[in-house]
Amino acid sequence: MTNDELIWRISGGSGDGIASTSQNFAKALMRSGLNVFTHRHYPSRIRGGHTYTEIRAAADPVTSRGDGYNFLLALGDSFARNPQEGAVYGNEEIKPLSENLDELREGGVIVYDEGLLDASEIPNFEERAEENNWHVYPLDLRGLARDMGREVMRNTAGVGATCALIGMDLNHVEDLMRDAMPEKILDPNLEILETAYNQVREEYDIDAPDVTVPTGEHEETQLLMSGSDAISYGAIDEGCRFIAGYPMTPWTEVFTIMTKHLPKIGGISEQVEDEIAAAALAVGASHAGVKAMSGSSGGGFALMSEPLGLAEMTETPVVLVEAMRAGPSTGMPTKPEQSDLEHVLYTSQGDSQRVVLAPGTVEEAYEQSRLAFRLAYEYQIPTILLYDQKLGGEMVNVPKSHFDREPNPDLGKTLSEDALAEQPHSEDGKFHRFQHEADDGVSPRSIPGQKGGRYLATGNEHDPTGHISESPDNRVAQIDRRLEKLEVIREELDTIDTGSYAGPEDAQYGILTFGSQQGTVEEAVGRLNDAGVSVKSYGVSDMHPFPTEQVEAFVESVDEVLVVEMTASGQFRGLVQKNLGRYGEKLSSLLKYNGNPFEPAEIVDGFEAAIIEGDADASTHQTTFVPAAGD
Amino acid sequence: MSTFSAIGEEREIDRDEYTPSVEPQPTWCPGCGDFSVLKALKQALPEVGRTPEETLLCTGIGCSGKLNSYLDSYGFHTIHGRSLPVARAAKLANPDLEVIAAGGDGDGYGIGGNHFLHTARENHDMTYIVFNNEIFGLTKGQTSPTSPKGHTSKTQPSGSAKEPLKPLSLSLNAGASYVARTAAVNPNQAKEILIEAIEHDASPTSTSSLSVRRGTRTRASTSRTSTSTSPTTTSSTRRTAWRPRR
Repeated sequence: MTNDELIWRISGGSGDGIASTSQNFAKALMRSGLNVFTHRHYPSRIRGGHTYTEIRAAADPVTSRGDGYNFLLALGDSFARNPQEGAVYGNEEIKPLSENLDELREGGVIVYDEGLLDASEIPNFEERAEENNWHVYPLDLRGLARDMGREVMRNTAGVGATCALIGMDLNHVEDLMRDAMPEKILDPNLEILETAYNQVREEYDIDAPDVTVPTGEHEETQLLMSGSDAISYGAIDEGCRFIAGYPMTPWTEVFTIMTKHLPKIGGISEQVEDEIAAAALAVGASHAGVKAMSGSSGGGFALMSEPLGLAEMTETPVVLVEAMRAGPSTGMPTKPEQSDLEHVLYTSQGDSQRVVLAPGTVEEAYEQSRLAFRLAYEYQIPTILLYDQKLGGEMVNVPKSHFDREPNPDLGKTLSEDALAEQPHSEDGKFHRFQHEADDGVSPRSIPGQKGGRYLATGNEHDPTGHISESPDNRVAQIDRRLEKLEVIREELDTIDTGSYAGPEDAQYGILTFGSQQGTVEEAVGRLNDAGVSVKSYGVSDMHPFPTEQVEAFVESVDEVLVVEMTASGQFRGLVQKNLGRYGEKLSSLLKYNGNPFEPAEIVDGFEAAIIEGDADASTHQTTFVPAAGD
Repeated sequence: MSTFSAIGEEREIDRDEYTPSVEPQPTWCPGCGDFSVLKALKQALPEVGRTPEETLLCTGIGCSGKLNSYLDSYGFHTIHGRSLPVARAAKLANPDLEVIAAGGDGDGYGIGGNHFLHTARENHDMTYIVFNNEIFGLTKGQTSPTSPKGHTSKTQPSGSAKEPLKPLSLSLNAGASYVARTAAVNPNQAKEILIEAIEHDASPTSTSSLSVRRGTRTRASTSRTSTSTSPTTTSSTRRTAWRPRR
């Protein structure tokens, strides 16, 4: 068994504290000097139902979940309803153990709570353990927790046992418990942790652990952060002080984080009647001079189409975030997918006049959240930040210094009253808010309450004062000016380059991807190159305006390109081809849409089979291969 | 940061300041009640001392939505049914603005019905005017949520089977603290009602109180109006105003 990484999976029932326990343990691993990456799997249920979180920890940087895992801590599911194999969802009681065996690597470790789980209910469990050389430790975690505190503290007992079995010191875990737990429950938890640790060390000979915790060291202070955290902190640092929303998984995370922080810094969070209102409120607040945002997931974002169009037409800056989940309709609420790409690009009537950014990592989520606000306010255009359940929920360590940047409360081209007086006005004192000729297409705006800034904002086509107009000349002048902004934004994005590149520049093959699959693709590229396959990748973040030149140069530089995305219809590949207008014979797709994100090996295998061996039927039952048009 | 010297300005206000020079004559049908609402509003605003540049008028879509074109203040002509969410956010963002929302019965009680209920529930210190003519006017006379039962139109040729909505009791139920009804055929009363509505101090039940407040305010009172529905109908001349005890 490899000692260079620990992939620890904690499984149990939804509502059993799996998420908080794993978050603390991830932090402890990070503080011990390791790089960490978490992956969550949970059902759309309030209580009960099989859930797990995986933590991958290594001395080297980690950008993805791993292939399978090597340490299982299986806890009971307190809310399991059906102990029968024949029930609709099968035997729920045994699931924390039975559901997780397929992906456990050879030589892996299993710790399970024998107080709640009976391994004899799993057919051929012993044979499978022997075959795969698993090391199995049945421990009565529930009994231990009950004797020393309360039954729910069995998670802590499991963490204590884990530390004993991987040779990890307890001090980091203890420090975190002291930070996170209220006085009342701290002492029994600390006692349980230590007792479980000592009990395992006494009962078993673990001088040479089956799976050891790697050792690493950080050069600077790290923070454990999710994509949702990063988006929120980016918004706050860029001066966002207003959010309106309606709950929907997985967007609720950003809404919750913003709501926690905004009131402390003089901002407002409003939970309103629906997503139409939420987006319209953000538009109204921005119109009145506050940096504002809203957001939702697929179905809720559909309701935002109208206010989005209003923001485009009235050139009101606003940021909307869209947290994708598997669709159509209610789809699979807690499962990631990237299939809202076309939805956010094209929803709302008329020619799209918006910016769409899709960050690929937690660091990029922070940077592009700030970028989204900056572009929205500088260019008076709605900007959409597109991400998914995977990026929103995964936690990684990020150097604290990544966030050492100046805040930016600037509202963009907004005029002072003195400057307003210099601007053109109509006879009756109306300010020319929408001038035909404007630098970069951006006509400066006033804020209601300012002297000399009176104008009308309207969703109708309008003349320079905002007055409704159907004059053909005015129409062409206004729409051309609004569209010009996208060209200027493209030029600005070219100077920033939000793309992420991996692999040798002169590689023979390429992989194109967007958004949250970037880290997994980059790990696959590393492995393919180690195996002697010459391949590079390009993770694209600008969905609109599209970096046509850069993508074209990338495609041009290689023999063949595999496009990797979590959609069933190849939406990203379609976008690439729409913008490039050719190369259909060079692009193949690797698609996954079963509700789980790619594992690196699936991309490696898919690439080798489809591109290297040229197998047009390279799909497995979980991934789909769509060959290039010429094949 | 911007200053907002239009807010709280103390001066005489001429009602003609509200009349645009671009299109001073509204395009409403001759005899339409909308003319008298416009006139009443132009009279009410100078009387409560609010200048065009400290007033934000948010409208929906329909004949009433054209109000913005004929009343020269800061304006936001939004989309069908959505004047209220835009207006209340502007009020939250800058509580010193005089925020007025306006729309028709189709706009406010049909497509925007949900916003109507929830805005009344939040009871912001702003005014909402509904031009209730019991039909969809701009799209040529279709049945609306307040059309009487049996109302025939091209979209309801055999007559509406539904009882009309009761917007006043709905808004009271939802929590608006000032609700009044007046008639376009009685413009003096309409003006008085509008003044009362604008001057009414609502106590917002919305979660937030904002500190991104801007501008300086010199006047003594800090807020004056409530979510108040003042539907002006062409039929009724009866005045019904209701205020809760405090």
